[in-house]
Amino acid sequence: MARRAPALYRVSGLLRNIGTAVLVILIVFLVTAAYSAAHLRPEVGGNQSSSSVSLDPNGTAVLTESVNLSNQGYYSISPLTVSLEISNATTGAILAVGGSAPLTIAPGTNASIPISIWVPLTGSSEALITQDEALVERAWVNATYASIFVIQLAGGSNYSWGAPFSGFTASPGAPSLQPNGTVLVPVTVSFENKASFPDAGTFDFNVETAGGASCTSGSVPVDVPGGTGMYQTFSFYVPSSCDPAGGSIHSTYSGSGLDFVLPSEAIP
Amino acid sequence: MSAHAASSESVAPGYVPRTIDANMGRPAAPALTDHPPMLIPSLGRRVAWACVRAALVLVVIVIVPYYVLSLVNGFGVSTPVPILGMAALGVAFATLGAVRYVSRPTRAFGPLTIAASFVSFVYLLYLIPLASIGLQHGGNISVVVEFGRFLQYCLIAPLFGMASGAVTTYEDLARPRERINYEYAL
Repeated sequence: MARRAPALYRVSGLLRNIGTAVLVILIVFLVTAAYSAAHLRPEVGGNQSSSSVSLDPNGTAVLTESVNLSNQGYYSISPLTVSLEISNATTGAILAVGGSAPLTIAPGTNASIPISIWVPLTGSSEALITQDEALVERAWVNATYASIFVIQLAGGSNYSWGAPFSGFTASPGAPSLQPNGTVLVPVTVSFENKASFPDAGTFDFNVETAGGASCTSGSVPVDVPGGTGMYQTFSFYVPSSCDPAGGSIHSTYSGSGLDFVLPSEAIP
Repeated sequence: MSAHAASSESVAPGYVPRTIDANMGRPAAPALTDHPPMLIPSLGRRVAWACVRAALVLVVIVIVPYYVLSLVNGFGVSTPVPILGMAALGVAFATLGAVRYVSRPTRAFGPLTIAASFVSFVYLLYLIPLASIGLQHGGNISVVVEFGRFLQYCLIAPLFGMASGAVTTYEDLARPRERINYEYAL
């Protein structure tokens, strides 16, 4: 009959076996995690058609991007956070940042993560109102896979920004004296709304003399759906006491939460 | 010539292995003692087997990782792990493992178990801050996978190895005859 090994010998062997078992378990885990991770299918920021732009009530453009992630492996992704940055491709200036809240994606599921990025149309971004811009959209995904592996995914793509008042011009015509003694100043407004949201608001015009004195002002309603344009001439009557020749016309737009000054034009 | 250790080999004091080399390989009849019958391989055989083990270890922890890293590097996968450091610690680990195996019937076995586990512990500690692989795809997408936390969990194994070595060291000091009787028991 086999004798039982001494306690110290058994303890030593047990410790050694536990160490080996831990290693084997970890290697099995590593192999399954690697196999499982091979079934991850992320799509980040590479497709402009998956994004949309809207205007929120406070006049900020909201760019909504969706990141799709297919996790058909055995382990969950938790937490997963996505960060986005929009910058001007020409100047490199960062226009806006945004991201998602931490998420958990269970194994065997597909997730579509909506990410919103707010682009304030003020300050360095004000040019986006009237100028189409080439923007660069960069996305970063930070995720912990299988509770152990940290995955950092970075992607970038070009984004074509369509301005809501693209190519805006308010071209004054030559002032003409009217029989009633007033002076007619025709102003032709033209622009294209290349954004996906409508321009619904009012234009306020102010006609000034060469010296900067205000001759007259007026407002006209605007309702231009996205993807269409406006080409319209408005007539402004200036009192004869005010000579608009050589002056300028200033216009502002108010509506849909936007309130901004459009480029001024000189009156011939 | 016997393939097994003679009683004059520098095994731990008091270890007097009974061999089976006499009588054409047939085991000797068990003596009427408290010790179970055992078979200690000769020093030469242990050295030869230790070399084979060391070579296998080197293949697994140095050559295969180097080959895999070189292979995936061709696909744009990069890692900051320096091959020289990995090779140096891998050779140290394999050598210590071989020496440890050779010294199994001696009192050096426990300390060498601790040393081998310690080297593997240092090997993992060395790799933890470097444990990442990166992939650049299409010029505008990059992926970095960090697996330092996985290696931190791997540190558990050499910790148990060191504990086991400490117990063996104590056992060999406190009860010199005890372990060898079971280490090579038939």
